Amino acid sequence: MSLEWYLALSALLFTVGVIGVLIRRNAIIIFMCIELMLNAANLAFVAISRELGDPSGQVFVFFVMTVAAAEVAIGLAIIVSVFKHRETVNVDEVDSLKG
Amino acid sequence: MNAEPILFIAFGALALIGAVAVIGFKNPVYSAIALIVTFFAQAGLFILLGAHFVAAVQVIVYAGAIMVLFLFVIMLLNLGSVDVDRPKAGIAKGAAVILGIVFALEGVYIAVNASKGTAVARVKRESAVGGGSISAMQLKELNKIQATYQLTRDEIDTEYVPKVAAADKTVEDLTADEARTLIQTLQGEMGKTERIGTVLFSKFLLPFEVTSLILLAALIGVIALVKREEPKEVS
Amino acid sequence: MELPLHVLIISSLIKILIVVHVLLIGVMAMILAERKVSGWIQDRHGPNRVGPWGILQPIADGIKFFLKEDLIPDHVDKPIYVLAPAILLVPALIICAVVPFGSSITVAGYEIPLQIADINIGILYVLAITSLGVYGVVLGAWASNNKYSLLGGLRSSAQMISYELTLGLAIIGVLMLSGSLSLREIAIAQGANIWNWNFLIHLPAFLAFTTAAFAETNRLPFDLAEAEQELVAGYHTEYSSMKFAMYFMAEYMNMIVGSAVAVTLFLGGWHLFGLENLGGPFWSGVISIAIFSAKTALFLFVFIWVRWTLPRFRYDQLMNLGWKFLLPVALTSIVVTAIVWIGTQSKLLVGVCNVVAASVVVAIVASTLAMRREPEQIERQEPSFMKGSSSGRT
Repeated sequence: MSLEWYLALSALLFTVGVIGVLIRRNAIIIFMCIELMLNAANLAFVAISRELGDPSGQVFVFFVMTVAAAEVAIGLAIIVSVFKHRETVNVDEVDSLKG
Repeated sequence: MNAEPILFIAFGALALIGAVAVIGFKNPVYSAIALIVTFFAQAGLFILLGAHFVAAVQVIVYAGAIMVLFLFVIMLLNLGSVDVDRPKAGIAKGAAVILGIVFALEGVYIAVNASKGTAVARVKRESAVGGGSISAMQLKELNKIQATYQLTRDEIDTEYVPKVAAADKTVEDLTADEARTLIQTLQGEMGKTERIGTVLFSKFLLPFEVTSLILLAALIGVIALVKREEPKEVS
Repeated sequence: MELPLHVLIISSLIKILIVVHVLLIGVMAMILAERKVSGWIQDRHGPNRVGPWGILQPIADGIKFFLKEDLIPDHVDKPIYVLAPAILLVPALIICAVVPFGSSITVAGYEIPLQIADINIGILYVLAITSLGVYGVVLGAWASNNKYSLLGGLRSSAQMISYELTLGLAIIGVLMLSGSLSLREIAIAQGANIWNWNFLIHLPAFLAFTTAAFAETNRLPFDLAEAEQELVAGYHTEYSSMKFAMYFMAEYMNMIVGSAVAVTLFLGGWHLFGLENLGGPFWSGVISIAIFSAKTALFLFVFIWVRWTLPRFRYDQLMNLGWKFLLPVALTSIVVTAIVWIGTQSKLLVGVCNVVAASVVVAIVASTLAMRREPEQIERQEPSFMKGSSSGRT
């Protein structure tokens, strides 16, 4: 399989993630869609890494995973504390800063 | 016997179906399961691409840790049964989907054209020359690989050259075709754990250390966020 | 040692068939052994009615499970409720694909390795698949739509994530000395003699690994997820008949597979003072399988012994043990092994330094904890999330 196929799949997965962020209002699902986008980027990294014969792409995937893990921990903690105060995870209802 | 296209289609379709299911299900628990399926399919794709170590780490980190955390929070807040998504205006949702589809088409277009006239294509052309003895370009490529993996020329001569040519040859004696096979063999090994490790702890040592700081910051941040204030009065 | 394709396929199929069936029979043997050993420990007879000395008891149990009504309560989330036991059972089965259960056997002139698949990331595969087992428990608990099940699932997910870290970190020292992630290479690197096996070189890591493995199988003293006295039956409260039997089987299968992995990593795999090389090319294979099985059985006996000896941990004790003792010990083992091995290249020194360093770490942690303990803190402290979910939102 050539590189184009992997990149196209990666683009499609990324787009699904973007659509999810746009149409869903549940903070947890929005979070999952962000993970989906990060994973699509990982796929592109690994595919290009093979094409170039350069392992840097695979190493980048580890950094992306680390950042994703840190982000999930923080994000879920924020969701939990928002839920404690507001009893909701709907991002439209958490709009106190809107003015 | 090349199974890659079949496996690519199978894993790719599974990943896409899972991804669509993530945003399709109303119930967050089902979404989480769909996301796990997508991650698995992606691990399969990584194995297809020869990145075995990345695939294993993908399953350990994403499926084994991150998604358990998601499920834990969903169960903790008991979000499984509540339907948070209130019906939104149809126009906004429709616009989002249409924009998304346009975005997807753009992405696919770029991806398909990416290998024409880009850095990727150039490397491919240059290493594809055949005939004659080893070219300067291939020697440069080999030197680069040697530097990245911290191999010595002796190691390449004794371990890898016999795989592609007569055992007594050294890198300089190879023909262009043999050199190409040699480069491909070496590049094909980059998914191996020791190769990844060498690169990670030499070329990317500083970024690696910085990520540990990110994790530390996240650790402290999470504790600060969810720590309960001790109630002052005795109840 | 490249086998022709048809030999490879046929031998792999035979190996898969044998391994899966040995596992299933092993589960039955384990159930009987558990009841017999518990009887022996508690000074009573154990099962002795079905068959001579009660050895047909597991079969009677199996028939009982089959004939019971397969109940699906109304309030459950049906698809996940049905799926969850399988999610727990399948990882337990597929881990054995990479476990080498013997050296190699020569049949009809072909030398067949006694392992289904020798993949180069073997131990990572084991860790990856192990980490999936938790979904069976968590999803089953959630789908049951029952307060006690949910509490069991929450406990289990937190416990599994915590102890998985120790499980992963404890084997890094082993990987450093073996220089490979393949389970076969690790077993070969330990050699035939007992003083070269990893459990002596990495004694603290071995103990941490074993403890974490106990926790991963959800057995006493770590069976917080199904604590009968507190949670009815925890995550499988709503399960009955064959679905419960699948949970039951998965627990025993996890024990067997966990023991097999531990034997491979720490107890020298199929080696025993060169005994595995006796006999011809065929019989040495058989002997190596026998040695491996004997070691696994020994390990399984420890599983049962511990279960019927130790009482259950309280939840905060469980978390304290995991995060404040096992994790530091595993991390110390990595640092000490790396430094001493680079410095001296001596396995003896690595072993001694590991034990010394681990004792120092445990002493430091224990004294810190003892100093911080104030009189009013002795009362039971539930972790904050347990308070949140038990306050009526379920």
